[in-house]
Amino acid sequence: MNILVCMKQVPDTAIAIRLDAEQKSIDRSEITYVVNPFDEYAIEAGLQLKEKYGGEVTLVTMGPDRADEALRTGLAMGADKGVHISDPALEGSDTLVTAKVLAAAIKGLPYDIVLCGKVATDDNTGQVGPALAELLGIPHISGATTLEVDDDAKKATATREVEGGFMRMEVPIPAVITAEKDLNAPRYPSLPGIMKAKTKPVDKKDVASLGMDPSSVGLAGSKIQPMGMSLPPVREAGRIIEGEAEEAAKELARLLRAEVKIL
Amino acid sequence: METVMKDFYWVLWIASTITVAFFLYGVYRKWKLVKLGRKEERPGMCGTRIKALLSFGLIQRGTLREAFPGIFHSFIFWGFIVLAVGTSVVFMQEDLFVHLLFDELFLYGALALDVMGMVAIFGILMALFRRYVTKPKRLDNRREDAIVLVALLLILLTGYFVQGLRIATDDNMGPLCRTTAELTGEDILERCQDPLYSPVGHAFGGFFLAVGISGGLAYNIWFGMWWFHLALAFATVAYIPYSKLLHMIASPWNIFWKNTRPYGEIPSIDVETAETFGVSKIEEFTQKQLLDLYACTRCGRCQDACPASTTDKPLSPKKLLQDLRDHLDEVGPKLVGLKEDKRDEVERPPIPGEVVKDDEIWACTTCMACQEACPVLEEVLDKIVDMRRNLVLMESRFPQELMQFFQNMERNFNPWPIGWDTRADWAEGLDIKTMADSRADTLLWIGCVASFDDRNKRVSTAVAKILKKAGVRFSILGTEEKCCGETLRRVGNEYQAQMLMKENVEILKKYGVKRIITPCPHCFNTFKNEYPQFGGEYEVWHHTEFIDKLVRDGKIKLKRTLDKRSAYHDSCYLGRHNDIYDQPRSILKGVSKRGLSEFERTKNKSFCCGAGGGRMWLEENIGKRINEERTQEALDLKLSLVATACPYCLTMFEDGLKAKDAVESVKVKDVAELVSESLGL
Repeated sequence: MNILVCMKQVPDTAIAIRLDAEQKSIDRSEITYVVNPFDEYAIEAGLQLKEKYGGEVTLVTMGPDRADEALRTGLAMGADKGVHISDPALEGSDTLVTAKVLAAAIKGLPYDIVLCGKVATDDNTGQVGPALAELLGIPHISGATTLEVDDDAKKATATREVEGGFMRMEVPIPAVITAEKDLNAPRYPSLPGIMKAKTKPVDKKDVASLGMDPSSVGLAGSKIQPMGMSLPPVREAGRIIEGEAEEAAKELARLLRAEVKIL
Repeated sequence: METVMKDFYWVLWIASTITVAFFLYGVYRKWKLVKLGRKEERPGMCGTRIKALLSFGLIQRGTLREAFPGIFHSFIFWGFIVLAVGTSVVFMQEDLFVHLLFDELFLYGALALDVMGMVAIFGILMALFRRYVTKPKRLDNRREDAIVLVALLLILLTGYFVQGLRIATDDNMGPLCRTTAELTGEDILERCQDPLYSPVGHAFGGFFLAVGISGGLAYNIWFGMWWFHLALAFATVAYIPYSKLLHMIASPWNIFWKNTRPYGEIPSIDVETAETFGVSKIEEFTQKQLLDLYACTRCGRCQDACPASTTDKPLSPKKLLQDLRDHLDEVGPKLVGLKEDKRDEVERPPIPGEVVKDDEIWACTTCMACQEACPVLEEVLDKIVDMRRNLVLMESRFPQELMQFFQNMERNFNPWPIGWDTRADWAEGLDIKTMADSRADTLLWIGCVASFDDRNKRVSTAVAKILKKAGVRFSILGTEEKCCGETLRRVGNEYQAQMLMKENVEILKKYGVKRIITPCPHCFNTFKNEYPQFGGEYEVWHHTEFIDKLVRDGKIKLKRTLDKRSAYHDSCYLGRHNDIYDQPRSILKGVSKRGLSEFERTKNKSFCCGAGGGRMWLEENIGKRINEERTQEALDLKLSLVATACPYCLTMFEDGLKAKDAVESVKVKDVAELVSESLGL
């Protein structure tokens, strides 16, 4: 079984985000990057399918040079090889362009199933997986909390969590499945796995080698243009109103009216 | 009379040859099993080794740490040493014609044998009483325990019977006298028949005479008893390598090969080029680690000291060693003589998971209480860490809480999912310089817990204020500090640990750091004992050591401001790992108006808080909670303050006091906080 997993390197959410000077993007100077946590579930799902049916797990990512670290993490978990699409022209690509680029890379590869994370924790759109399915002309199930693939019957069954319950869906494969966080428990790479990952093959691609026009990608090729970014207001320290209950209540009411202005 | 036996000496020669053959074959087989292990460097220092052998062997320092078992073991040990020497002397004089007992030595020798036999009998009776009457929980009874004790007792009793019966036939020339007389030709009969030099033998002789056994009857029984005594002694010697008696050889050998490296150091492994990591097969242990298995006699002191065993966790150091030993006895013989690649074909269970269960492996707090209690200097920690290394690095199998822990370490270089960029937030507004701002020889290394945990930030603040007050020029690394790697190493993630350790060595090199002061005993131990493995050689101080020095040098003057009934809780990594017991106590005595109480389990017998060895980051789902056990001890002592010197201990006590609903009545504070209060900072 040929399993493709699309993944993204994202900033670790534990780090305080700062904005760059133009307030259109984040300041990347002190960021720790990690594999998008949802993609880890997708990789684990791919590895479990490989354990069941044999075949290969191929990781596909689009991102700058540093995204190689994310690929190596997935390879250390047990994926067989990687495809790394990296090109300065890709900077600023929106979700549709990203999906187009991934689709272009995937079209040349054999695949029985394509797995993605449900959403990337950085820009939080959840669009790339479904868009990719559309561009590849195959069905998709998003936000899978369970996944069974029957390689002989060529179908996949997944559970999605919906408001107040669960929905079970079946699709013929190849299909795109995006992983919700309860799908599985991603494994920890063994040390031999980490060592082997250093030499596993990663196919480097740029825009030209995908047969795409540089002007159709990146910020220039994107329909969505970022207007600006802003940080949430800093949470102020709580205040304790001292005194007798009656006076304290009066003071609270005054503050709510005068300062917070919600009364 | 014994001269009649000379006609039968050919029987003795055959019997002793067979005995020696059995004995040597048994020892040889165990030797081959031990040699299955990897070679290990245990460098030099022969003097230290011989000293240990005298102290833990001859003087029985280890067993005597506990009165009753120590005394009876010493009785048996010393008794048989003297008897063995006596028997050897007889052999030398009788068969090799070497005259050893000059002057009156034959008399004193006879007296020594006579008395020490009784001492040994007394020891065995004490041992029997303890094992089969009082039955302490830590002893498990196997058949060999009974065989050994009864055999030794019978050897001693039949010895006295032989002697008594001989005396009852009016023959007063015991073996020492007789062989001496035969060699010198002197007439020493008169001196030899003085009951003063063999009082017990004469008592037995008197007894036989009193019950009417004398003359020919005594002679006949004596003849039979003589053979029985010898047969039993030979059988027991042959039994040594096949039973717990093997410890007579393995334990002294183990003591001789004791660890001469720093106690708190975990050996490094090659994580770059090796193909397997940690231990899953018995031959992956070192030869010394396998020798440990045969040196253990199941005395169970480790089990009584172990915080995991005593709170109903599945881990018992004794059981762990015995399970490994049984496994070695079972699969070892199939491996002997096989080439390395053929060994993999031998079917056997993996050690972690099967021989030693995962729950046992993860229960260890690495507190070292077991090793401190062991009379024969067993090493246990290294085996547990080796098994953890296998589980983490090869099998990726570990308690699920560690997954997040590893990720946090990888991404933010601390145990929490808290950004590394906030590591120095505790120092805001305290006017503390970072190395990047102002390079100093002295680094105040904070460690993860005292950097991120709110309660422990007060400790780092106190330490910084004390150093400033004393005029010490120091800097911190700020956000350039990363976890020292201690916990990663102890939970078996050697790869991540070494990455952090090497990165830290680089950054410390960049700033030319020579001296490190740290409020965390775990960082302290790692920097002091393990960073040299990666080229990081520093002068490392725990803050209690350093503050104690500041007081002694007169740099700070303590005032007695502490007016509470207080005691110091020893951190395992300061105490047992690094022998620091006095400095924190000395400081506390300087700030306390009421002196210092002691926990019942204190100093090298201190009971772990439960957080070491990665346990801080794991759920404690099995048995009682270790920290609550320790907290209860403080409550029983009616303390109002527990002084700690370790961020883990502080946290565990805070939690314990909350669980015991004693937050109001008992406070827990780091030594540095008390000093800071005393100085009015």
